Amino acid sequence: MSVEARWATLYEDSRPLLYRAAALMVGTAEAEEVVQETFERAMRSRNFFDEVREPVAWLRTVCARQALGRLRRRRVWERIRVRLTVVESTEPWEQAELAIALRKLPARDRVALVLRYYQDASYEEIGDALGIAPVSVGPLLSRARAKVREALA
Amino acid sequence: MKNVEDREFDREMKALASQISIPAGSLHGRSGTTLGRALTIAGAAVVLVAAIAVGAAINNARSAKDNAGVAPTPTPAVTVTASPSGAIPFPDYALIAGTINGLVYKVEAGQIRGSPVDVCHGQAVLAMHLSSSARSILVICGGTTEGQAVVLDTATLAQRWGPVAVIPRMDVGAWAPDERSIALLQQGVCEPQAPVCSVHVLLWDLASRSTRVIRPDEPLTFNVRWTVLGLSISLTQSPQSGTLIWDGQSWNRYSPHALWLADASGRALLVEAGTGNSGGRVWERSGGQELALTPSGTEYPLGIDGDRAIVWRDTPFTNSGVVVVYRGQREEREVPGGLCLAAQQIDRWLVCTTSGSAALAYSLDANAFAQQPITGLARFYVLVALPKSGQGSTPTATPPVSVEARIRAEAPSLSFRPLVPGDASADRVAVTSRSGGRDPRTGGDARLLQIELTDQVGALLALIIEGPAGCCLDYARPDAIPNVSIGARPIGHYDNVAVAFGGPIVWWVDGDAYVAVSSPVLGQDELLRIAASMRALP
Repeated sequence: MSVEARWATLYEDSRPLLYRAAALMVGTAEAEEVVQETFERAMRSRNFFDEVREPVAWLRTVCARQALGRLRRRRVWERIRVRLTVVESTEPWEQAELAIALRKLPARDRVALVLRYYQDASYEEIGDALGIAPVSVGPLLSRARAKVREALA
Repeated sequence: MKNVEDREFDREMKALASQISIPAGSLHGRSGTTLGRALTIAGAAVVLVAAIAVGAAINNARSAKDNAGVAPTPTPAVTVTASPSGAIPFPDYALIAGTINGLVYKVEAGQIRGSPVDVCHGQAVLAMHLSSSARSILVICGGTTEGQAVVLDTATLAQRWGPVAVIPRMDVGAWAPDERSIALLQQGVCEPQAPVCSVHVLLWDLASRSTRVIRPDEPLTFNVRWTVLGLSISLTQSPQSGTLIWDGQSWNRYSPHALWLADASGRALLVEAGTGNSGGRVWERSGGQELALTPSGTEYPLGIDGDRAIVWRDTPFTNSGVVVVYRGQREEREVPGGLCLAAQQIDRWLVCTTSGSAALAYSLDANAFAQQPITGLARFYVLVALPKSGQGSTPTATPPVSVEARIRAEAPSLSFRPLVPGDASADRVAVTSRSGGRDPRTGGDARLLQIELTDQVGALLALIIEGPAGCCLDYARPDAIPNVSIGARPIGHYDNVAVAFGGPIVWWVDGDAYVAVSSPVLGQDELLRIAASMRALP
């Protein structure tokens, strides 16, 4: 299989999962951008398929980092009241209680929950994506879940 | 191993995720802005997230409502012919290049000439627009949150006007045909609860250095254009989604799609309105009918040539794309080595703003791209080509030769016998030729003669456009007054066009020539007096 064909297959196979995860993290409006950025980053590596043992896991981690970066930048912009990045929710799913509760979470909590409960990522993988020790992931998830429960109560 | 609470959360999260629909056909690079497209491929560190986010939001809001009010028309039959473009020489134009670092260079034969000018002071050059006489260039600079518009003298690159604050996007500025004003999109109020900031449309009067708002704050306003159809903007929000054209006093709906470009006959290429400035399905409009060209996916209009529509499509995840030509059927040609992010039509060429390290220009005659590396310029630059007759000349540097001699100098490139204004003072007349309109005899672009009459301080008094008979305005314009007497000359037509569009105009056919006289300051009688004074070049 040619490299181009492998990219196409990887894209087709992993995009739905990545897109939905990104949407949960940053919203529909920016989800596609996050997925695109993730693939662009992957494709800059000349020997991606030789160097990366688990391409889907790699994409998942990078996607989470991209989303995290966006959420952090968004916070900065909101602070200075340049609100171009805050996009109105137009999708029905974004009005669901859980989606609203997720949006209220700090960026790191939100990304961690999506990685764990939508993408079934391991603690090691979540720790890698967030830049924290795997041992800290459990407590982080626990606190994040509590915040969601509180918001939903 | 997940515990009970984990499993419950797991189920809820996956149920929520399953409600997220995945947009189809999104195998493309980021397209929120032209620069965004380039940066995506170039892997540059700067990302215009704000504009991209809005662009993406708009993309997602795209829906069938764009097509409301337009009679369904069939998409042309698709015949894909993939072949690499042939090697043809790059056109011999002097170029002006703007870079991501905000510098503007003069370029000749692939070499930088002189020192660059720091126009944008750290911001990127997002777009450059040549005025119709090619004497001035509108430069749009932009960072992540702020942008500015400045006008440079083409010959010296010295700043003539500006800066004026604009939204940092490539679609926010357009020259008036008379070069006296520029339409701009400027950020308006940012209400704390609103999802996006509002935008208003400004008219920047260069002579008075003043601006005035001609359309109040409104979100999601894109694509300011000033074509033969008039000054237009596109909106992405219902119920006005589509293109509006300003008649000098009010905005009138033109199409449910976003106008990108139009030729002198009014034939236009439009893009589905919901994408803002991000490309999309392309439509062709002619005679009030709109025809969908793009079967699916994202394309970007580049130009119109007779009955051909030329558009661009990015190849996902590569720094290349395909040029797509629609003429009844669809033909694709691969273009390696860069994206054609926007195009300036000059003579028989479309000169691209490019993401690559080589300049790209598409030959309308050869139906192929020419490439030329520009030594010393990195990837991504905005490019404009200068008309050959205007190279190196400034209004003050125009040699004091007679008007007749200057028109005669342009005559060999014209396919009609030009006319000379009778009583124009040589030092208050500028003569240039340029492409525009359609030559009915050849079917290709017409070469037009442009004569500007100015007052003592250089302000435009009247603009005379000459071309081959049948090139330009027709006699069927609904508001035109036919059978206007022009002294002893053939009968003409008069249209009381708003000043913002160049002012009242008188036009007629004189032998094999079309002649039009317009003015932003003169009335009908004065226009007719100029018209009556015109005589065929001996």
